[in-house]
Amino acid sequence: MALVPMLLTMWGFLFVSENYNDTQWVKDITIANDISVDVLSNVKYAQATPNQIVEQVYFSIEEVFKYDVTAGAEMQNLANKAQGRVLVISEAYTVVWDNSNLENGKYLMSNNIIEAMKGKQIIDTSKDSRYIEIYTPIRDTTNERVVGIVILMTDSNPTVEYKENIYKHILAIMPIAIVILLLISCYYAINIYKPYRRLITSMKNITDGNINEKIEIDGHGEIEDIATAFNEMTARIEETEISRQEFVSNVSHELKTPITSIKILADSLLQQEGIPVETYKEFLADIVSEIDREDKIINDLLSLVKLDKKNNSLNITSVNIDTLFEQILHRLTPIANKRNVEIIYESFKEVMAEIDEMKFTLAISNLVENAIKYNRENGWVKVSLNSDHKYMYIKISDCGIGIPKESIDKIYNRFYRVDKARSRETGGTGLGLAITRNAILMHKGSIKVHSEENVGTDFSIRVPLYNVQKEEIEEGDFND
Amino acid sequence: MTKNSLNRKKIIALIVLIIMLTILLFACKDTKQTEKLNDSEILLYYLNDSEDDFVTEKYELQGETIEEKTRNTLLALAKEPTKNNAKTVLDPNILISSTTMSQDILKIDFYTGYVLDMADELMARVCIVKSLAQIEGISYVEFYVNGQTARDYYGKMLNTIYLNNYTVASDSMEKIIRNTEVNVFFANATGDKLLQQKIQIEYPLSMRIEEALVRLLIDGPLTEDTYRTINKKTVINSINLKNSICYIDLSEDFLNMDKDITEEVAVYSLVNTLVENNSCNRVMITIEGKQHNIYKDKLVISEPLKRNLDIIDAINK
Repeated sequence: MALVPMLLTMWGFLFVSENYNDTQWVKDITIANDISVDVLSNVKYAQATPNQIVEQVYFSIEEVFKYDVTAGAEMQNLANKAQGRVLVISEAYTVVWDNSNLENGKYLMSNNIIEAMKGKQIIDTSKDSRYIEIYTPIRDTTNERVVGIVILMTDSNPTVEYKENIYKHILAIMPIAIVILLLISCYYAINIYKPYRRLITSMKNITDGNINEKIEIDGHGEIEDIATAFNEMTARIEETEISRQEFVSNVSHELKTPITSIKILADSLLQQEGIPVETYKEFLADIVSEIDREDKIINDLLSLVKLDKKNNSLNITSVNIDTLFEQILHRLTPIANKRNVEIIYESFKEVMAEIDEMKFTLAISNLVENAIKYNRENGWVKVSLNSDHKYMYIKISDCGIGIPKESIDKIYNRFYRVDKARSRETGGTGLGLAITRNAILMHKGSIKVHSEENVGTDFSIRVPLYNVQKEEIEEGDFND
Repeated sequence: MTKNSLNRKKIIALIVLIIMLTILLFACKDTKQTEKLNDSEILLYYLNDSEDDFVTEKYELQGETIEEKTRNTLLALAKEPTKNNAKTVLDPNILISSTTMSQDILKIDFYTGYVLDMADELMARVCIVKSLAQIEGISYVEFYVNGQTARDYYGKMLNTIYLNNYTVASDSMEKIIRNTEVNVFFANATGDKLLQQKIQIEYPLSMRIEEALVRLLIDGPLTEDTYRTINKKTVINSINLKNSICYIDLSEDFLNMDKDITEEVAVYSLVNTLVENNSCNRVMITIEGKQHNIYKDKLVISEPLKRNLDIIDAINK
């Protein structure tokens, strides 16, 4: 990258010297033109009558320079002005005038001379040449015929030396610059490559099972971002992994407890002899209740797994929520009566919503059941339903034992129980709230909890009235 | 990615790099090639198709004597060349009456028809002259037609032609190198007298002889018995000729001369050398564009200086 400005500077130098040359040429061309016009006024060619010959009219350019002193002086003037050598060549390709007096009478032919003799001015400035050569045809006034040419050769020395100097400098600087650039780029390449290698090593380690591995890369821009993102990703994976392990251990524990009870009950029946039938009945009843518990846990787990499945689509129907609530509350009344808990249902208006009836019922009945179970004797549970044009709002409050502050974040975790002993007593599986939350989220709704220990708990739920996918299509149609 | 494939990629990259560098080096190679000639080979000169340049072609000399060689060369020159873009300017049916040598002058007698078209006469003459000039032993040529001296395009008689007077070049004038013998004045061992030396110098046609001479002095003598008279760092600012006076402007370095060299020797090596070899009679020296009254301590240089013969070493005179 550093190469670019360097090259630009170099071309800049060359451009300046190139331009300097240009102005030099322009000057010299002007001089050459002026002079050749002056000389030309003396050449009146061929058609002269004998009288005119007497009047000093010359037949050829050779004669002009032979007899007219001013012509030579003009040429010398040109040579002085341009600080160069001037040759005048006749149309017979003979040198008729030379300011160094060495070429007179010699024949001189070159590509440029022959071209110029055809009437074209030629400026020869080959790249590798030190001299600027200007070939100017001299024309006869009477018939426009070329009678000779003036060659002006001027030393472009200052510019050439200047250029040579620059070239020398460039030649000297170039290898050094290239070496430095190579070193710099090598350094950067290695430095850029290093963190990548560390990243790759870490990724390999993680692949090998060291999920705790953290990548520590600092101060390298994008690489650092990648590392941070990667660390976040591994942290998330780790979290998921931990919760999965916890879940598995919880599940096995929960499933094992009833079986252990059954085994103990059955064993004690088998080991004793002469047990009265009442005892058998009592033990068998206990075994049945344990089996029921097991069955309940398995059912809950299954419904949770169903809710978890990503592809699981909701079986959407339009349902009268009022009726649904009444049914749920009616079903739960026996449990409430057992503990003498009063259920208050408050409906502000008739609500029709598009929901999956099964899952929605599960979610609400879990919440109401919890409100009843974790209530005090003679307590109350209040269920209210309201809606606007878009959402329905459900609030379930109780005057129960409440949830401690430190537990409020974990209540939706599977198998999490605030008070394990009590919960088992009440027949909870620890999956109820997890199921509720999943069901509400599937309906694109939201659930909030507010609780105060020994005062009560409020669950607020908001669920859209219309299924979102359907809604989107409707809005799309409307827009069209 | 395995280590093997990584290494292979590195090797491929390296090879590509080397190839690219090699290509860069080839770009620097000079592609110009000049034809090499044996002793018995010469180049025949032809015109190109657009008649604005000369084209050469190799030719093996045939015959024993110079006369025979010349005759055969002329006959070969009259034939169409093998090169596509070249053509001969001579009449293919050219008839040569005789070729005779006396000393180093070659006389060629043509039958009528030497000159084809008048306009081509010059070109034909140049082609003949340039071709014959390569044959050893010939310095001059005289053309005759039926025993009479030949005439040129303008009807002028073609007198004896000095072969070296014909210069043909494809390039610029700068590429034409001239050889001249000049008289140069350097200092003697003690630095108080001038020694005259005859030197063969080479300079491009585009350079003025005055400049070549001053450069010669600045560059210093090549032999050991003579000594430098002008500071090596001196730069020629300008040289002008007017009314037989040579005005020369030099840089300040001209004033800083070795102590061993007297003022007269420094100044007159320049004046004498220029006057001796040039059409000028006097030399006017200025420094950095300004007139100096006195060169250093006593020598007056405020006006054009004539040649000074007294300062030349007596032995040398």
